[in-house]
Amino acid sequence: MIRRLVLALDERLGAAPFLRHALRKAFPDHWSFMLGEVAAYCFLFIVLSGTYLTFFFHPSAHHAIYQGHAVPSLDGRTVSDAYASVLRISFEAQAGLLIRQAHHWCALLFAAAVIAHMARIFFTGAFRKPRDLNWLIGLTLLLLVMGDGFTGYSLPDDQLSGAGLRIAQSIALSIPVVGSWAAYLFFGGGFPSPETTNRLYAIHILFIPLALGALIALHVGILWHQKHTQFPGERQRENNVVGSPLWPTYAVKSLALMAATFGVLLLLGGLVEINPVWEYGPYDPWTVASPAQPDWYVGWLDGALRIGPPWAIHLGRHTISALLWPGIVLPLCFFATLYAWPWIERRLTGDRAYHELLQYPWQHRLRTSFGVAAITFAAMLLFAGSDDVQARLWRVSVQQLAWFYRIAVWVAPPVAALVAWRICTELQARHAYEEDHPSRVVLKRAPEGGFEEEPVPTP
Amino acid sequence: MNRAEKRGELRAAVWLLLSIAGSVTFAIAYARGASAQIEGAGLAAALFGVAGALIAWSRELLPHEQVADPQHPLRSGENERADAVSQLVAGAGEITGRRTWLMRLGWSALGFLGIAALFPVRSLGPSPENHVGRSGWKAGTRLVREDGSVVRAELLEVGSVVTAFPEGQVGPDHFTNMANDAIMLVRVEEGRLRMPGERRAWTPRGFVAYSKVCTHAGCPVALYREGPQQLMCPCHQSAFDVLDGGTVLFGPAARALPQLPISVDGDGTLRAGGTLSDFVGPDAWETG
Repeated sequence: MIRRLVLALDERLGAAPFLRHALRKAFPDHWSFMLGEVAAYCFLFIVLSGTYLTFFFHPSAHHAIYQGHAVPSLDGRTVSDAYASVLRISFEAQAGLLIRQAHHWCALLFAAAVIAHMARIFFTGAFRKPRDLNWLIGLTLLLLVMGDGFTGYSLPDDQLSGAGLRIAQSIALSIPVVGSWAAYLFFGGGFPSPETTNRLYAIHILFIPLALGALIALHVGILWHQKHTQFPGERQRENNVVGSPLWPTYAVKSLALMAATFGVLLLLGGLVEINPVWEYGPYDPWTVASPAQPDWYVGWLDGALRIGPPWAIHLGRHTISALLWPGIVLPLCFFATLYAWPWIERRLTGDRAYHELLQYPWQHRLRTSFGVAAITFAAMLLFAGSDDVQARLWRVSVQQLAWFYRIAVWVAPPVAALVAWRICTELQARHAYEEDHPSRVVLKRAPEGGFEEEPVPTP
Repeated sequence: MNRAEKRGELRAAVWLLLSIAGSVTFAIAYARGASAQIEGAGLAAALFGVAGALIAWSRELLPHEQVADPQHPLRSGENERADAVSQLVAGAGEITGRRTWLMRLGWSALGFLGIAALFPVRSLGPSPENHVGRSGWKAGTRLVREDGSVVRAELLEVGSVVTAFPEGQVGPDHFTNMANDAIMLVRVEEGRLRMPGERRAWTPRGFVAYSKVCTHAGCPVALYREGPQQLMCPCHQSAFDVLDGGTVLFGPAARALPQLPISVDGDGTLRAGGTLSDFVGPDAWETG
């Protein structure tokens, strides 16, 4: 059967030489190489679970009277059709709640996996030539994942998602000159507009997934062509790639990872409640839930808004909103720096060579310190995004916490970078020492009877 | 078959049995209308079973072979590179030739096409002209609650707070208006108010009203703290002074909350004594 299929394909496509090579392609076995795969499997899961959800969801702002016994507090209330359909998915479609929650968990894991994968690529220098192209595509994928997450979060038309959209609209308004036009054209009028849900839906289920699919194909295609990087080792050199063959060893492992990823998502989807929109209630623009937090990958931007300076600039009859700095300028600068990093590093170090071997983070102080600083910066913003919850938890005033984060967001990154620099320096010194004083030696008995020491090179 | 292999097969078999049990659990749970918890646990067990079996397979049943692929720089030979570039340039040269004016016309046509293609974008929404920050409050409009009931002075003691709208502008058909018109009406002790001169008449009997739309990012300024007499926004924690014209006490907001002058009729009906003191909601380029 398989034999006949392969032979038939080869007759028509000449696929045999490709298949022969592809099946024996080497996949390095380091655990950190699985992070990108988790992201890819998240994409698969989110498309499958999302497609199921589209069969039930109504992207409509039409008023509906909710008549459901599952949520007595909402029975008979006027809600949007979108909100009512989310309640139907959750309470009337058997297994609907499981799939809806797993879909939401998948969005959170997807973003986390992409970011963890990016950190691996960054700290080991895998983005260097020739893979700087894929770094650009990967960053774009991260932005798309965040965009798809936010548009999906906004669809149920509940209290939290409505507040999030209102903030997004306010950020759009803050763009100089064209902000109001941009907001009115995108949202279909003032806020809230009955057009918005439908538009977000088209973006969420069509435009961004299509772009994601195309860019993931390109990302993996380039990876396939350029082959994997690897850590240096006894056999691993600049001019080879050592690893498990794709077939059967690596395929079996990777399928195990896929099954495990799906398993975790379904376990979370079943056992851990997420986004209970029936508790938040339908969106009334004049009420709000407190505490109000977005999903985690947007949290750092919300934190930036919280600790942003109240600097509005008045230019005669025009205003530059204070939202512009944390809402537009900060994320633009942050991502522009990340996009440019391969070239920034090239400029700073003068290293323009091809690199097929990875570095350990301690081997490159500059890069590691910068990466640690960037992560610390984003983490401070993320923590600032829940300062109200922390204030309640630690019984301090939210104003004090906001001031703490206003300072910490600028002080903590350089401090963290200095610490990282110091640790890298120490590790470099230790490795240099170990190379000069190999601790492992082999005692060899010479033919004439004596013993001699022979150092074993540290890998 | 050696002992290690047998152990591996046994392990894989146990995982696969777990997987089958998980699938069966899910199917039964689904058919009997059980909770998402049982469904999720069942499906997760089915998948973890497959994952466990595959891991046992790869660890104990498959050979641990390593292969090495050659890795070469992808850069092509100098001749090929030069050929590719010159072909591209030569082709472009053939298109352009010496037809400078035709080329300019060609680029212009593409530019016009690009601009023409932008026109449909205009259909996406109405013009923001004069709409950003506008509210429906007029002098004399009665204050009503979300359900349309009139707000009366005698029902509000000091310390109470009501979300109010202009009469005739509530209900599902006025959703967008309600979002912009919502005000927080607070009653405070008259003696505590520190209103600037021209606003002293805006707060009869201690009734103070501010726009409920945060001037920072548009969230509802829904938290009233009676002790410090502050209105707080739960989204980004801007705090506004109730006693002093809604000025910003703390946070990212750059502008005071717009205040609505209040008047009280002889029968205790609350009315807007004028329009809001400023435009509603976050700053935009046009709002000045």
